[in-house]
Amino acid sequence: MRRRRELLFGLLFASPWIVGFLVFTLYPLSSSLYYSFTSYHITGTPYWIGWSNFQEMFTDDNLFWVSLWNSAVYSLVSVPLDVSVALLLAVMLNMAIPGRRIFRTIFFLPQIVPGVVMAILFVLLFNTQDGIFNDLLSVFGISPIPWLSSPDWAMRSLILMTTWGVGNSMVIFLAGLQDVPAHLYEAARLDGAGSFRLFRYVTVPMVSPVILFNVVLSIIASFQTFVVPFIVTNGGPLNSTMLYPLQVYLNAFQNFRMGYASAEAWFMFLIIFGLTLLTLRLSRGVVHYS
Amino acid sequence: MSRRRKVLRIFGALFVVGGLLLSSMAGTVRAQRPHDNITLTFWIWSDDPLNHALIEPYFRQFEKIHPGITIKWVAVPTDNNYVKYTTAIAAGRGPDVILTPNFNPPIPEWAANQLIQPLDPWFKQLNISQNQWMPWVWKMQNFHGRVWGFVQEYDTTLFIWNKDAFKKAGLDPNRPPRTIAELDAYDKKLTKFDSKGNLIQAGIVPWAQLGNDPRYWAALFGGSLYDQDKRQYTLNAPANVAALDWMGKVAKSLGGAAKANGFLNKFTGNADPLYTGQVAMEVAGDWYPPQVYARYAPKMNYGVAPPPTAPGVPYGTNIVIGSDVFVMPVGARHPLESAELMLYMMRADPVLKWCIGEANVPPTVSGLFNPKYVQGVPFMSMAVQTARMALKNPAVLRPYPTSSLFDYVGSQYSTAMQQVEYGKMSAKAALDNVQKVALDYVAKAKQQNPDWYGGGD
Repeated sequence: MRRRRELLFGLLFASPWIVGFLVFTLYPLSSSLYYSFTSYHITGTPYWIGWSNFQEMFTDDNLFWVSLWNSAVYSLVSVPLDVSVALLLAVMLNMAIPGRRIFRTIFFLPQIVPGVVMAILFVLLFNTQDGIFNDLLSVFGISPIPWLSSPDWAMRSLILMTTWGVGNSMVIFLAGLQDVPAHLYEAARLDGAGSFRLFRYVTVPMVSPVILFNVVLSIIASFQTFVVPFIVTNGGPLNSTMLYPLQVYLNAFQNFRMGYASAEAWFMFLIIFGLTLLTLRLSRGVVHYS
Repeated sequence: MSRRRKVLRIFGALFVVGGLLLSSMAGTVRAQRPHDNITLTFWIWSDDPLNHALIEPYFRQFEKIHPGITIKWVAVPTDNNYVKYTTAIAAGRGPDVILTPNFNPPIPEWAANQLIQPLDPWFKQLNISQNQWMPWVWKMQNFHGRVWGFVQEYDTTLFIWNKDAFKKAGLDPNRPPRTIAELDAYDKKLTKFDSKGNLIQAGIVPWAQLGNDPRYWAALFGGSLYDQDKRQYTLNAPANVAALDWMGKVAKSLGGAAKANGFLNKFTGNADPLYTGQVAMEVAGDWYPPQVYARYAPKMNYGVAPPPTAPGVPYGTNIVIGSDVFVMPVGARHPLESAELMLYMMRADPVLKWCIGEANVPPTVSGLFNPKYVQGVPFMSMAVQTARMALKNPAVLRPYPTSSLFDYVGSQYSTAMQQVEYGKMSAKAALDNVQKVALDYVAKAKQQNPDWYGGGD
């Protein structure tokens, strides 16, 4: 009786979340799964077409493969880059240097800048003729790079932009670094280990669970990148920055093909799920859990 | 009372209150009575004071003539407003009247997807006649056997040049190029690079401003992307190939599209390199002089003329036109009053006021040939001249296609343009590819919506 009452009260207090989950998460998820098997324009009734949307994706939509490839390249390069930069920054900011709290704040600040603002800012920084980056390069005698106007450079520019937002990962790494027992460093130093060996044989193994966590989150985030390519390049030039989420958006809201876009969205879910499982599997021999 | 009962009663009360609140937020449907207080919601892309000044006095007049009706102006900003309008209408939260900033998208796409309602039911009731509109305007608003909106104005494209840049290059500042060959010759004199090979002044960047409209240069070479009468795409027609080929050559002369776009990218927002002569010539809309140049470059010394044309295309013809359109979304709460409002705004007086204020072209016979129009906007006399030519030869003006698939096909054509500009593909190969993509897309659309696409898009 008492347990029933406790259960009832528990459900009662959790009911706002439960209702919210049912209405705003489960219902849209189930609907989009259903729509992925239908032909559904934004108005009118969806009608069942089975696997046709998926068939079209794999056999009849060139832009699907282009965007998938672009997202794969983007993820493959930006994830290791961002995680490495975040870890290095965290290691530096974990040292006992004067003003490290100020530096921690400075490096985290970009995280709170809205994505749209950041994107517009980078359009100016990457400007071929008047941008700061090309101005700096010209000091070393390097010709201006067409960062955003060349199909060969636009993707590289997008990847560089993501390093602006490593503040989140950096903070998580900082927390992980606090947990590394100091006696391990002392013991290693007594054995004659220098800075690099300390980093390689103590720091990295001890924060390897945090590295795994950040890698998984970065993979998920990289496959969901939408704001920057939408604002900065709109997928161009020549679809060189057409990332998968942008292509899904265009199919849904430019071409009105909600059913097809839902199929693409579920395929993206499978990709991310698969990559996450693969990462966790590959991490077994590499991540050290104390 | 036990604690459990108390909790259940409170919970029950919360549900009842919540349910009442939710139901009160849902739209109510009631029968329309003539003397009810009605609010007509009007969506427009702009909150610009100029637009308010040109339209609102007529709204207030309409309200006086129709006591009980209030018009509520809602500005939905241009950025992605097509998506906002579409999702709002599809969700049943659209307004009574929309004035769109473009014809295609969204009009044919909305019509094909039943997001706007045909206006034919009100023709008899409100004494509307086809003869009010110029024939090419009627063709734009009347397709698939129904009338889908009222074109409020149409825009014509202009060729603008910076006279000071012409003078510096030793060209006659009052003599614009009239042929593509002359344009090329002028471009050679006006394009400059610095010692490191950076572009510092461009004669013309064909894909800048309105030149990015895939129809524009194709029309000036005598081509067309869509055959309105046969309702078929003609993307790889020889004239279109010639136009794209020419654009590729100009891109090369600018040092490549990457260089040219890098040069253009530094001009963000309302900055336009034409103001300082860093681009000497551009194609622009008729609304640019009063709305853009007057505001952002009032001291610019510029000329206005029809765009240059390719051999075989008479000068001053093959002008592409766009338009703003009044439409009534499906689910408009007050359709009769909405139709009355739209028609009220199509009378000579409000049309003239808007077209003179914005330097657009009146779509109605009473507006276009009214002497007040040319008195109000002298440089638009060429639009009147073109219209008279178009009455005898409709091919002179190229309205937007009424294909509901044009947004997608147009984006594929734009990709083809980029492929040629960046030197990745020849014009013929790029357009053959786009034609195939368009035909496949139309075939797919026919399968999925045979009612609409059965006889062609």
